[in-house]
Order: sequence, then structure tokens, then C-alpha cells
Amino acid sequence: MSSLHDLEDPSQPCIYLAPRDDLTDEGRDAASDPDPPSSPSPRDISEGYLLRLQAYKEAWSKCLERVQTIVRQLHTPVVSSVVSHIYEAYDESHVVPGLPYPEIPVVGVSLSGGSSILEDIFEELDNTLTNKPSQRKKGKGRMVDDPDTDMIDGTPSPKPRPQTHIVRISPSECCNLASAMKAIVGGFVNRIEREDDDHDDEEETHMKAPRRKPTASLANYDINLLAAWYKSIEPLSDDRKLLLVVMHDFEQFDRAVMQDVFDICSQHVPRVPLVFLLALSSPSVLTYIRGAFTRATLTLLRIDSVSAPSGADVLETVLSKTFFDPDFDPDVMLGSATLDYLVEFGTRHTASIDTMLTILQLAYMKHFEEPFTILVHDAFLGTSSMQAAIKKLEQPLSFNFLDALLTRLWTDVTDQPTLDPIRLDDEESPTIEGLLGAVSAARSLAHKQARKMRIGFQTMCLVKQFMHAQGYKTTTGRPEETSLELMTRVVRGRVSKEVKYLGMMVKKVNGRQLRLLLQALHQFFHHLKSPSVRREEEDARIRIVAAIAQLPEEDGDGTEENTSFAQIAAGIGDWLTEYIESRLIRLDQGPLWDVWNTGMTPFPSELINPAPRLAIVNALLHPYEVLSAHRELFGDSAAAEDAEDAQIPVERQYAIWELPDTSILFRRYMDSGRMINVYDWFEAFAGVLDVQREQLQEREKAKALAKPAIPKKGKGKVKQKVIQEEEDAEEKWKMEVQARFMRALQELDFMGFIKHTGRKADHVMKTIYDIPD
Amino acid sequence: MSAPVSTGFETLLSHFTTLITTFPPPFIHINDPNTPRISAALLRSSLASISVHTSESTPRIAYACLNAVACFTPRLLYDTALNALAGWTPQWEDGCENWTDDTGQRFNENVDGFVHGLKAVHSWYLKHGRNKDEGGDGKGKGKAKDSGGIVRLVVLIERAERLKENVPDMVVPLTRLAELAQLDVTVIFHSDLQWDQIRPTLGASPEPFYMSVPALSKQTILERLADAYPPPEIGTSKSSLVDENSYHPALQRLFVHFVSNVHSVCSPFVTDPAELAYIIAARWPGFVQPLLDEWRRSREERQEELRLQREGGDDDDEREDVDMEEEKEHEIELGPPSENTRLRLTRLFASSLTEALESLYPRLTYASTWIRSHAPPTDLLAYHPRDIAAVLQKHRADNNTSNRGDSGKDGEEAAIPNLPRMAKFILVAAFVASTNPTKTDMRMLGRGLDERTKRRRKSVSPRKKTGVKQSAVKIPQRLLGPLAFPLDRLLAILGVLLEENDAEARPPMPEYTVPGEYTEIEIARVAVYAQVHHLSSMHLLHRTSPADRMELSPTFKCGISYEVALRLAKDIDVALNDMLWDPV
Repeated sequence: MSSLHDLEDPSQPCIYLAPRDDLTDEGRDAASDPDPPSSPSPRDISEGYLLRLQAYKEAWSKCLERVQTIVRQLHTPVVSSVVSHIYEAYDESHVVPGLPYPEIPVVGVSLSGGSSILEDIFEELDNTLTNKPSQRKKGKGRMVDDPDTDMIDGTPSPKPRPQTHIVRISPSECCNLASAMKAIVGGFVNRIEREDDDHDDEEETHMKAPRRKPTASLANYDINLLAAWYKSIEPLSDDRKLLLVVMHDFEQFDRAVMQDVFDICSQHVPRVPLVFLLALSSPSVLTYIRGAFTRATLTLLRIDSVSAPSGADVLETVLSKTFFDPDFDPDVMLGSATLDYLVEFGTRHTASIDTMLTILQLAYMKHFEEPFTILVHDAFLGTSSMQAAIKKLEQPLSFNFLDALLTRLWTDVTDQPTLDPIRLDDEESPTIEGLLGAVSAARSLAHKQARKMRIGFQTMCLVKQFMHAQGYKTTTGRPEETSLELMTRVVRGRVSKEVKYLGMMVKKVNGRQLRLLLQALHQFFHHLKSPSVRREEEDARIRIVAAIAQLPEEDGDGTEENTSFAQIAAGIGDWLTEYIESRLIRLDQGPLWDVWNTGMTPFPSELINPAPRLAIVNALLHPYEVLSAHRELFGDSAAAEDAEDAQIPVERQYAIWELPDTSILFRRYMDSGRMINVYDWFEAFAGVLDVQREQLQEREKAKALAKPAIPKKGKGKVKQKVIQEEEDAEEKWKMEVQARFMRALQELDFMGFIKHTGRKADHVMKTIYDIPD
Repeated sequence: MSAPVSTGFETLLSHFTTLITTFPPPFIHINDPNTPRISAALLRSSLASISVHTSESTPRIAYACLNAVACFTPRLLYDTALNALAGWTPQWEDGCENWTDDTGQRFNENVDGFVHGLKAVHSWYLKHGRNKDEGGDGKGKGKAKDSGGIVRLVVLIERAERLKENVPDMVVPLTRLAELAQLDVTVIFHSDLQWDQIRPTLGASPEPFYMSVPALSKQTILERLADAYPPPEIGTSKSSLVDENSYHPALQRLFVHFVSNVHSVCSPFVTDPAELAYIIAARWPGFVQPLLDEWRRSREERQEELRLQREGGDDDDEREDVDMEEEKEHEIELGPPSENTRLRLTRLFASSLTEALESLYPRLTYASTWIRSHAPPTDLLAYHPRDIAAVLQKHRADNNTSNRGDSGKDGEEAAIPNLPRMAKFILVAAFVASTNPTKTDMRMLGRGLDERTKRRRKSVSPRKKTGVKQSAVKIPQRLLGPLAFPLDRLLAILGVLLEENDAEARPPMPEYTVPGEYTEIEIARVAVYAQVHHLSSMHLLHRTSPADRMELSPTFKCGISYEVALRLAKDIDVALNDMLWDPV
């Protein structure tokens, strides 16, 4: 039970308790089996569920790969700076001469995005370690022309990278000083032994660790052991060596322990070349370290801090390069609702890359719930050819799908008669082939439009940034907006005012700026990666080249030139307005647009950011609504069980006696003060149950009346027996009430609504107050 | 490592040496409250020299230097002490075995074993000193023989104050080691605390022989610092951070002036020679850079001149040779600067010394970073004296902008506004919760029908009253440090802030109809809890309740300062001062 295990873990902000098994059989099956859910959408074709899953996987992995590439690109400078900091830690050329005593080099990396950057760092360390002589030029400032430190490409013998031994330590290993030192010392010393097990080449065998006696040798947490080990490996090769200690989640380490660790290590540097790499989640490394450690400890260290890119900027880069980049064509485009949510969540709660990926993945998953999304990649419906697909559609099982598709296409096409390329061959009786052809045409149209939109967006961003850099205002009235906001509005198609204003501003630029702008634009169009896109935008390029050619020479500054500048600028401004406007079309139009666009489908935000406590309270207050929602979600078999309940209309207000026991108890709970007398609570509960019993009995009676009455054969003796029975029944009922009370109480207790304090006898404390009904 | 400079510690060292080589008391406590690091290093090196240079009449001395921080378990202490006393270095190839005598006994189990170990070391020295000729050094052996076989063991424990927490049971045995072992053993505690603060209770330890290290006088500090010129590394390494000629012998006199200059600026705040040396090491390269630039320029000019001369003359081969020699002759040597230049430099860099003290002493930045960011503009001395101030200022401004992301205070504080919006709200709410007394929440933040006017009046009046009526002025909470608050209170305040300041900014949700319902749900969401948790892991909130107690609402303290809170509040348009019970 992982969830119960999680309960013990105080670092979990929220714990998911799986619902009881008997409640969710249906739901679980649907989630774990790739089998279609019990109630497939009527419009789906056979095996549609599996095929869509396939399509989803393909689309998502394409998107994921792109995002990861971008993220890696973002990380590259940080990674290389960390790695060079590590390598230079004991480089003489980076140590200030004349310091009173040697310092421990520490590299602090702030990972506020919670990102995978550490792995990239290790990878880079591995790479440079094995073969790749790095050709990065490092250093800025005045005195780095020293030929020893700078490596020029093609230098026959580049300075060898130091050999790095890495030990990774997590906070749980360091609850006290002895265990922390053991982790560090043992990490290095035992590593060699482990490596030796792997490969037995000649060189390594003689450094096989000699057996240490646990009592007669140095203790395994003794730094002298590390020193002795290092002394033995030092002469093995001429390379410089570094011992890198990586501390994950550095904030969680005990400060007093770390203080002593640094103190001990500082007595052995630089004889033992230890380097510490601290991974912190704080936005600033130095602030944390300065706050956490005393000055005495700080003086032992030399901290280089590096921050991983984080925050809204990363989000912006990733989004614009994934969904708004002319060089990348995602299979499914984000619609306004998802994009809004993504931007909102990113700026409001957390901009971490992992969260963003989860949101994107969820949006993709949800998108592929739609039966038509089977057509995202091709119209083959999971078969290998068009013929097979047609055959598949001819089966009676697929008629619903076919019907829905046809209707949909039909309405789309007739609604928008301007769309020429998609025509159903024979409007009266379309063939399946024609239909699939039309679908393919719709796909290429959608992609083409998306591409156009991306180019338009990038052009607009480019012009905007340029104008901004030149000190022009780029929006009317409103404050400058980030490109995240711009994205959300572009997707909605609400930018024409901006574009017009931008064009107007472009008309006002002077000659030099115009030249720069045109050159930037030319660069942009020239560097479009895909040749087909470049061809499509040939006109724009020609227009720009022509404008550049028209520009008079720079040195002429007579009035004549000025007027011609103004003319060209005006022309370019008009053209830009027109060009961008024609490109920034809304993507939620056109036939079958919602196959390639998540559109206005609301994002299932409750899955990412639920409000568990309120949800539970709500469920307790309105149990039937939740039950019926559950029934809708997980099929009808639950409904079969309590078919009679199902007949009760959900909307009506229930009397308290009609609710389940736990709900009744909870209602009474809500009525009470801070502390509840358990006996009073029971009495109140019993009262409701009595009403419930009477009501049910009356209902029974009413039913019985409706049926023909069975004649009673009772006499005096029997009557007494009946009284006896009634007394027994009364006893039994009381027991039942108690049992039901206990059960309901336990359930509330389990959900955490009750706090047992020993303060007052027979009383329990409430844990929540004032809940809006 | 070269031997540390002993200037200023001569008395201590001579006393110490005399004591150890003649009749040392069994237990010595050396108290150095000012420069423990330096005096400890000196004691170590003097022990090392004593153990080698024993004269004929003195006993053979074996010593061990321990650090109480590093010896955090008894076993470490035994191992380190015995290995050092026996002059034994554990070898990796032998499985890092500890020293042991011929019997192969184990000495690191308990105090008893340790005492036996001491005896074993002692007898080992006696035996090997007489018979064999191997071991550390031949001289030592001879001495042992001559001095009637006396071997003296000396154990020096640095940072002895830490013994008390790391190995509390060891303090008493260590102080009575000579008694226990019945040997010629001297234990020296070296600490920046006085013996009174280390002394075990109930008089379990004998009184030590006290030695104390006086604070260094200004003159000695200056001498010590000046003696460090040039630093030992400069000959062997080529640092890319400083010019190779920074520590040129010709500049030594300038260095002495520079040191006294630094000292006069820093001495009101720092007198630790190590810290002063740190600041000097960071500032000196930049300080002499203009001189070196000028020297280099004049040398180039000179060469240019020579070349022109040569080109003017006829170019015979012979002539060229002569020229080469001549060129060497005419090479301008780097000479000490004129008095005038020195004054100019001193004036130019006076302000940067304070700057260096302010950022280097608390280690806001580190020397290597500081050198880079405070390198003076090239050819500073070539500017006209009138322009120099402007040039320097401009250069500094440039540096500041270019280094902002790099390091230093500016870069660090810039990171805070990068927090997501909800985190800012939570931090501001936490600040409010930590500053206001709990019972004022209703008055300060509660929303009545026309709460605006009411709230403001009430928030002002109590302050005035306290000023007039009560004689004891209540210190504002802001100055007393943050109060702890439970999570529920934080969320409630967060709710108020969101309702008042965030309602327009959030996406519309038509399904919430009851006023306040939206906020209520927002603050109950997982992301808010996760954010609180995340902030507390970043130590922007401090969790005050133990993490393993689940049944109570966790309590926190705010971890940001008033200035930061104010900036965050400005970011999210919250009027922070209206919410504080004690407005600033």
C-alpha cells in the first residue's frame, strides 16, 4: 500500500488515498486495461480506443521530445558553467594568491524549476571525462590571455580535464555527523571496489581495495581513510583528479552537521581535492547559505553560484518554440482553453518544467478521447492502406462513426463555402473514399494554416521586440505584455488592433532603424529550416529584399532621401500589417478543426490542482450528486445495484433522513460548536435514524397497502408473541443504531474530521469550521 | 605548506618550547580568543620542530595534533592520536591498518585500550630508540639513548571546546591522561574559550596550566601582513586572476603602505590578520594594476622608439645584434612608484577598500569573484586627474550592470521577484501573520459592511495611545522577530488578500456564485499547500513544528524581511502597511 506508506512521510504535501476497491472496480479496469471502457461512445469505430491510444502516444512523444530538446538547450550554458566551475576548482590559475588559507570550492546550483539539470551535468562530466577535449573558451575579463588556461581550437595538446570521482548524497544519509562522513568517505572509497567488480582490466586490478579489518583499521567515517585512499590513487596517472561530492536537496541537510563536515574537509584541502556541488531549490544559493551558516563556516568555503533558468521565461521559451515555431509542426495544436490554463498555472503557481509537461500530457490525453482524433496522423484508421480503411468503414460496426463524420464534414463545408480544396465529390451520395480524401485535405489545410499562424506570430514577435528595443511603444493604452499573454490572445484571434498599431509604429522609424528591421526580417525568413515553408513564404522574402534594395545609401542624408525613407517605411508598415493579419488566423475554424486543435475544451484542472478537503466535505454534504456523477463516469453497473435510488431525481433537496449515515452524522457535526459531546452527537444521530425508520416503515406500509393484504391469523397468544418480538426488535434496533453510529464515526475519523483530545471527557474536537454550503 | 610566520607569537612559542622540552605540566590549556587558527598552526609547527631538533639533554618528544571537530567519536580520537604519536601513516595498500605494537593488540575500543596504546607507543619508542636504527630519524634514537630513555608524549587538541559535545566522556580522561597512563604525557587543550567554559562539572578534572595568547598589537599585525609578501604561491603558479607582476619585488614598499592603509580602514571592524590578508589578497592586484599598465605602456613606447631609431639607421646585421643588446639595456625595469603616484593610487582606491570590507568580510562575495568585478579600468593613470573620478564611477556602473546576474547582492535579491504569483501572496500573508498579534486579525482584516474607515482608525489609534499613556514603550513586533503562526491562520489571511487583491486578476469562473466561494476553493487547492511546502523547503518560511507531527496544523514563521515583503506586496498590489498592526 503505497498510499499508507505515504502517510508516514511528512514531506508529502498531499496524499492520494485510493477509493475502496468495491467502489471502483469499473474505473480501475478502465484505467489499467487497454480494453475499451464498458460504454464506448456511440460514434466510435471498433478498436477506436486502442488506435487512439496509439495515435496519442505518437503525438505526445513527438511533442515531449521537442520540449526536452528545448529544455536541454536552455540548460546548456548553465551546465557548461557548472562543469567549468568544477574543473577549475583547484586550477591554480583560478585561485587568488595570498589567501590566508585554502578554501573548499563549492558550486551551488539553484534548481528552482525542479529540473533535470543535474543529470545533464553528470552527463557532461562523463563526456569530458572520457574523450571529448572541450574546446570551450572560457573566461572573461582582462587577464585571461594566459596561454595555459585558454585552449585554442587545434592546439595539439589541450589541457587534460581532471578526472572526476563523484559521490552523490541525499539528506537522509546525513542525519548525524558520523553518517554524513561515512557517506562521503565510503562513497569514494567503496566506489573503486564496485567499479573493479565491473571491469578487470590490468590497470584497475592493482587498485583493488585491500581488505580492511573493521576494528584494526581506520573507521569508515574517518577522513584520514579518504586521505589514504586518495594518496594511493594519486600517482596512478598524471591527470589531475577531483573528488566531487554532490548534495541533493541541500536545504534539507542538517545545518550543524554540514558545518562540521565543511570544517573537517577544510583541514584536508587542497591535499584531498574535494569539491562540493550543492543542489538547492531556493532561487538564490548565496542567500540561503548565508542565512544557514555562520560566518566562520562561510570563511572556509569559496562558493560559486549558478542558477538554472526558471520561472515564466522558461515556460515562454518552451511554449513559443513548441507550438509557435515555424520549424516545428506539433500534431496537435493547443487551443485557447489549455493554453490559458497553462499560462495561468505557470505564472500563478509554479513554472516548473515538470508541471508544464504534465499539463501538456494531460491535455493531449484528453484530446484523444474524442473519436475523430483517430484521424490525427492519417486516414488509415489503424490499417496499412486506404483500401483497408475503407473496408473497415464498410463494416456495420463503423456506421455510427461514418455517419457522424459525414455529418460533421458536411456541416463544416457548407458553413464555410470559401474553403475550396475540400469538396465532397458527390454531394448527394458521397463515397467513403471521397470522405477520407476530404479528411486528408482537411488535415493538410489545418497544418498549413497552423504553419502560417506560427510564421505570423514569430514575425509579429520579431517586429515587436525590435520596436521595443528601439524604444517605441508597441501597444496602445495597455502596459506592455509578455509574449505569454500575446500567445493566449493570438490563439483567440484578438490581436488585429495590436497588429495595426504595430504597422503604424513601423511607419515612423527612421532610416537606420528601418534598415536594421528589414535585415532582421530577412534573416528570419532566410533561416526558416524547412524548405517548403521557405518556399511558401517566398513572396514575403522578395518583398523584403526589394525594400532593402530600394533603401538609399546610408551616408546620404538629404531631405530627398528622408522622404523616400518615409515612403518605404510606410509601404513596409502597410505590408507588415496586412501580412501578419493574413497569417494570424484563428485555428478553430475549418473542417474538422478540432481534430488537430484542443480548442475550447476545458482543461481538466481538477486533476492537476484539486481541492481535496472541500471535495470531501462537498461529497459528504451532497452525497447523491457525487454518486450519480460517479455512475456517469464509470458506467452503469453501479446503477444496477441501486436502481431504485437512481430513480430519485438528483436535483431535488433531500431531507436529512434520506442521506447515508456518514452524511447524517456529518450534518450534525457541522451544526455543533468547537467541541462535540459524543453522547449528544449520538442522540442527535439516533433521532434522525428513528425518523428514517418511521419513514421507511410508512413507505413499506404504503407498498404493502398497494399489494393485496395477507390475512392475519393472529390470536391472543400470538399477540403477546408480537409484543415480545417488538421488544426484541427494539433492542435490536438500538444495537443497530449504535453500530451504525460507530461506523459513521469511524469513517469521519478516518477522513480526519475528528481530533481526539484528552482535554474533556466524552468530547472530540472538530477540525474544520464554517464551510460554505 | 611553508612554516607559518611567527611574528607576534614569539613569547608564546618560546614559553611553550621551553615547557615542553623541560618539565611540562601534564595538562595545559592555551586560550587564544583572537587568532586561534594562527596560533594553533604555530603550535603545530613548533611541536614538529621540537620533535626533530631535540638537543642532547632533552627527552625525545612524540606528538599528536588532533582537531576536536574532526575527532567526533572516541574511536577517531584514539586512532588519530595513536597513529600520530607513533608516527604511523595508514597505507591504503595495507588496508589502512592502525598502528599497533608487536602484539597486534587493538587500542581503539575504550579509554582503557587507549591508555594501553599510549603505554605501547611509549615502550615501542624506548625499544626501537635503543636497538634499531630504523624509524623516523636516526637523531631521535640517539637522543632517547642519551636522555636516559625518556620519551615524552605530547597531545595537542585544537578546538578543545568541541570535545564537550562531540565526545563528552573523553574530557575528563584526557585531562588526567598522565595520571591514568603513568607516563610522561602532556595534554594541551587549545581553544578560543576559556577553561571555565569547558571545565567538566564537579571538579573531575585537574586544573590546567594556563597559557593565554594576547591580542596582537597593530604593529605586529602590520608586520605579519607585510611579511607575507610575496605569497608563496606566486612563484609556482600562474593565476589568471592577477597579473604576473603583481607581487614584483619592486612593489614591496608600496605593499607595506597599502597594508597599513587597509588596516587603518578596516581595523575599527576587523583585526583578525587572516581576514585582513583576505581583503588584501583581493584588493592588491587591482591596486597595482594601473602601475603595471603604465609600466607596460612605457615599455612599449620605448620599444617603439628604439625600433624607429633602428629603422632610421642603416640595417646591417652587426648593427642589429648591437641593437638587440641595446634593447635589453633600454628595457625599462619595473620600479617602485613615486610618492606622488602612491598618493594618487591611495586616494583613488580609498573608497573601494570600504567596499571590499563590506562585501568580503561577511563573504557576500568571494575574493576571486570580487577581483574580477572590481578590476580597475585599463590605464587608469593615463587619464587626467580631473577625469579619473568620473572614469572610475562609469567603470563601476558598467561592472555592476554586467555582473548583476553573475553574483553579489543584486543578483541574489533579483531572484525573489521571480517567484510565482501565488508564492508572493503566501509570503506576504506569512509576513502579516508573523507581525500582527493573532487577536488583531479580525480588526485588521475582517470585512464588515463599511470596514474601510473602521479599520483604518483602529489600526492607528492603539499606537498613539501606547505612546501617551504607557510609560514602557512597546517594541514593535517587526523588531522582535517573527511570530509563529498555524497554517490555518496563514490560509485565512491568504484568503483575505486574494479576495481583495486578486479577484480581478484571476480567470473568470462563472460556476462559483456565492461571494467568496471562489477564494475559498482557491486556498484549499493542492497547489497552495504545495507552494507553502516548497517555500518552507526554500526557507522563505520556517517550519516551527516538527515535521513528523501530523495531527496538528503545522506552524510556520515568516522568513523574509520587511523590505522584501514590501517589494513583494508592491508586485501584487497589496497595501502592506494598511495590514500591519504596527505600521512603519
